[in-house]
Amino acid sequence: MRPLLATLALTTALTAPSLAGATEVTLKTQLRNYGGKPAFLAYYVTDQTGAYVGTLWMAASKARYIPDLTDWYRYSGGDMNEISGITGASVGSGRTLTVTLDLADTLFDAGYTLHIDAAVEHYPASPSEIVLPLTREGASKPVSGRGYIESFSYAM
Amino acid sequence: MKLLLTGGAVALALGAALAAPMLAQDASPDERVIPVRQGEAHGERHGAFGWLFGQDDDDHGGRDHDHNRDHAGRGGDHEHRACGDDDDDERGARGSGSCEQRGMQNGGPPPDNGLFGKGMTPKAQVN
Repeated sequence: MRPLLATLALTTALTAPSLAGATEVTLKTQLRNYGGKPAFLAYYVTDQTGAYVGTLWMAASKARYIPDLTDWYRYSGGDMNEISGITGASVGSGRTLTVTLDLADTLFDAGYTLHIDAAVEHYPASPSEIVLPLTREGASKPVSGRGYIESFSYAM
Repeated sequence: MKLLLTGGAVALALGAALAAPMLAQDASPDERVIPVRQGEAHGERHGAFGWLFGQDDDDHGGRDHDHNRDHAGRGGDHEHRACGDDDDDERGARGSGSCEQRGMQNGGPPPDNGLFGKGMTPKAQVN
């Protein structure tokens, strides 16, 4: 019985951090009616030193225009492996993109910053249109972008 | 006098015959025919006119055609997956999810960059 309990305790201890270490987070982005083609959006995170950490999502229907997400491209070096499995369609004018992800708890209240780049074919690019510290207190508080993004908020 | 006129006419005729081909060559640069060799027409750069065919096939600022970037996600060494990764805006999905302009999309396993929970599948919806 005692070895069984010890094994159970060990496996629980090993499993618990991965279960407790992530929270479901919903990123909601409402675009303005800018009237052009669907917008490309890149969501990525930098740390307290301003260094690129990784990408959370990319809405981009055509790979060829991804370099127009200029800050993301500069931070990531244009490494397409960064967005494998986390890409979706670009977002039409006036539409809303809702992305649901399990994000590491360590991203919040630890000096990390969320950036959103936006780009539309034939329109000016809008790098780092949203720059927002990732905090639990900031959840569900909408912010406006200066270009294509009418409002953005994250909920957890 | 007659000899002088005849000589002048011969000189004029000779000059015109020599000058005509040169004038004809330079008359309309736009109409020059540029020979296209095999392989030049899709971005490879050979010879003096390679630049003409090395440009992108869209109107996006004349960006050079980068095959690995532009056609990524089609197998071979194009490892990354980008949604709707095609030459046509209106075409459908490739890579992660169905890529409709509206509706639910499911991503694949995200990169192991420490940002995501283990085993999660990202979901996105455009309304």
